[in-house]
Amino acid sequence: MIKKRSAGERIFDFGNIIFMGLFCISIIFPFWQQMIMSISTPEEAMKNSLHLYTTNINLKSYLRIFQTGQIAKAYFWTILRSIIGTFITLITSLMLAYPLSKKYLPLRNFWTGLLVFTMFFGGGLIPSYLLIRNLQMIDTIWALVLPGALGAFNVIIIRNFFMSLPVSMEESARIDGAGEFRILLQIIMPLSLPVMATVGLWSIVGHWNSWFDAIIYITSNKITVIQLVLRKVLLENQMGFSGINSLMLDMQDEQAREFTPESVKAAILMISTLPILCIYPFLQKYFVKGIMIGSLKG
Amino acid sequence: MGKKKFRLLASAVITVFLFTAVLAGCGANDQTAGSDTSVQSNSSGAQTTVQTSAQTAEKIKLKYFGVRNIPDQEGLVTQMLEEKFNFDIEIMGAPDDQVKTKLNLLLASGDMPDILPVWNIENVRKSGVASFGEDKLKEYMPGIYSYINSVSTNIGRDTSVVWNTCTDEKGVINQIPQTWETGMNPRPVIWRKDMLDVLGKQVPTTIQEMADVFKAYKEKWPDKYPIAGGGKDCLWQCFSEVLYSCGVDNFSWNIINNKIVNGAIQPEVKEVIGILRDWVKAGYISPTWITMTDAEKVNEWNNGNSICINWMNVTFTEPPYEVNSAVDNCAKLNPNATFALGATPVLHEGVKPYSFGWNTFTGTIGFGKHLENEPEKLKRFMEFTDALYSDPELNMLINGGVQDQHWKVNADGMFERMPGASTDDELKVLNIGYYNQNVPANGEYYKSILMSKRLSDLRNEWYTGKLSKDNIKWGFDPVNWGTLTNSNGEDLYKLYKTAFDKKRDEVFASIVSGEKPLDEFDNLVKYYNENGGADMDEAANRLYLKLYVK
Repeated sequence: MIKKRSAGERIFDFGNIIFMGLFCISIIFPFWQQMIMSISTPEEAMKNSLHLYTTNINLKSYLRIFQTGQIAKAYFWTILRSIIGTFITLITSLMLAYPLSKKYLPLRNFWTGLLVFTMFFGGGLIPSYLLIRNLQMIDTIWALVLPGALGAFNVIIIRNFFMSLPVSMEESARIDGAGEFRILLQIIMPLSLPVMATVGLWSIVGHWNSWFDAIIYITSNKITVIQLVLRKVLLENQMGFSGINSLMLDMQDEQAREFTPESVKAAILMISTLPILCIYPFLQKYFVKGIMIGSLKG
Repeated sequence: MGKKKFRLLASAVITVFLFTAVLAGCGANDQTAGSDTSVQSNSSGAQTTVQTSAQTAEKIKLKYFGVRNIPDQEGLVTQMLEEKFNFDIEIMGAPDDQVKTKLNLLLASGDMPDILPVWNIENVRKSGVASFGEDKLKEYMPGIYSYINSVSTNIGRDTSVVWNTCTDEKGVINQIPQTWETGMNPRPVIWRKDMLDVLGKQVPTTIQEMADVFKAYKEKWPDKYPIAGGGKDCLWQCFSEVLYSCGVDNFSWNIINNKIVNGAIQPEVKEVIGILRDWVKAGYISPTWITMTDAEKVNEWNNGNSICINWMNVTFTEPPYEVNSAVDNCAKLNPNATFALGATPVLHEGVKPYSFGWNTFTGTIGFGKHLENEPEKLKRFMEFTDALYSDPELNMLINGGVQDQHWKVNADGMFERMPGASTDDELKVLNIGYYNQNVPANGEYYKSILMSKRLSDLRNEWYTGKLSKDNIKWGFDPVNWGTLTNSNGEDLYKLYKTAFDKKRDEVFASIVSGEKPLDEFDNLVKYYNENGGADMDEAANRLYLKLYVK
């Protein structure tokens, strides 16, 4: 029998829909505005008004960005570091979280405390640079993926997840003769997809958005990352229009008419966020589950 | 031994081992500190013996730090320089806003480059660059030495005073000033002559005439604004066409009656801020001026809304226009536009408008501190830098590439880039425009060929006439950019100036926007006097005497 909804419930649902709708608009609208600005003509982009739609689509801003010589190289290295870095992060985090999740690990509290300590205190930029330099990782991709590979927060999230898994599964596997590595790889890991997806997503986003480590550890032009290139394009276009002279910034005459700093800024925003947005739907179902499960205490 | 005890013991042993390893790593001497470039040469396989004879030029490694446009490692210019000087050049660099962080990092890690921009970075100035003294400067860098002296004389500064700003704590010269001569030129106001003609007006010479033009503009085009200001990005350059008319710059130190005073609290400034406030009320200035970026302000001009704009240099108002000038950019979007130059309008008869100028000496170039222990290398690097400035072929190579391959002299007698070496990416691949960043004024020959006779004549006409350089001496940028300390050595910027500058900007913005009455200016003056004003005035005058008076 279908229960009739009361008037109060209907009013509440109506109000809820309105509120949530406005909330969603407030989140989506800035993104929509930037997307419209990125494909607007210079005159439309420069107007101090809402940009809900455009009548003349102009892709010159994107063309300006993609004409930048290093964009393909930047995409390559950023994708490579994201993949390698995320893989290393997951492997190392799993391997540290697993023993820490075992109550019988000797000095467990000490190791956990040492891990937590690193969340609050660090050596600083100069010791990090010296370490990377002495390990001869300057100007290599390892300087971009190894320093941040093992994050204490990630390990704690995964550890807590492991602690929530039933012990009986491991015990039965042990009875059947499985060792620790086999238990980790064949029993624990398949059950850990939610938390791995969560940590993996954080890692990918972190690598995708990184630029400062590239400035510090990469001195040559052989390796570059997308955020660095986009940042440079953004600064160049702002300088070119404000009249500040730089003898290097010879823009072609026709280019000066076809885009503005505002539209280039908007296009940069699109280029840097859209690839990551495309990954989210595939990990959505794991993400919601994983972020909550990791918070449970064992 | 039970299993549990065994595990405990094993963990303890591993823990002790790890701690020992960590302590051992912390205590180890760093044998690979990069300050010794000969070690780096070793790792690349190049010969490391440095001959003391000046006539023997062994191949040595040069770590060259540039900014802004970090080029590809093996561009044509780099290869040619390596061949000519027998160097193995390693290019380093960072974007402008990260230069300080990067250089401080390299300084701390002992990896200083051999040639680098110093840029008022205090740590690098003090302990990152080699001291070489005037004798070595004259011997190894005669071209640059002579040039800096001539620029100093040209702007009325004693040469020894200029060099005194480039010394270490013992007074030994350790840096070369970088220069920006065009920054010292007074700025013109560019007007839309076609719009003035429609309004039946001439180029204004006084503030009253400017107000009349704006009034007529609003009657003709009520939905537009005759003047724009990029308040968000550049508050201190906002409406300079109007602000400077009072003869005082409200955002910097000025000299009035032979004393350095803070422009922000001068009564003349109150008057002109009041004028701007009235113009916002009258609708001559958009109420959104405070949120406008500099780019938006320029686009108001380019798109044909603004009737005037303050521009960096005197430029052509008749075609062919100077490429990428304000006139050129506006004409592209407004083919029927015509232009006229003007000076900053006068507020009161007999009062010369202020004219903004950058510090001619904008920063410094230095050589890594480690080179004090390698005099032969220091000599070669100093000679290298001087050659990039003085040698015509090398100077043009680093700025433009090879003549008739990457650049040419056009029919107008001006430098012109050729296809294949004109866009930013093409120049980066070739390494063109990278080495000139550590050469004063980009070098002698490039400057001379950059400007046609037509432009040179036009600028001479204006800078000795309506835009006299006399006015520009009123602005004392070296004092603005210098460090102000009280008699106890305390940094007055930290103590007072930063807070005052913030308050000054807030008061300026709020009065002009109409949020606060004009009398709020008096509160600013009171604030200054009650919060270290006298200390700041004394420090500024002391710095002026140090920089300008022998």
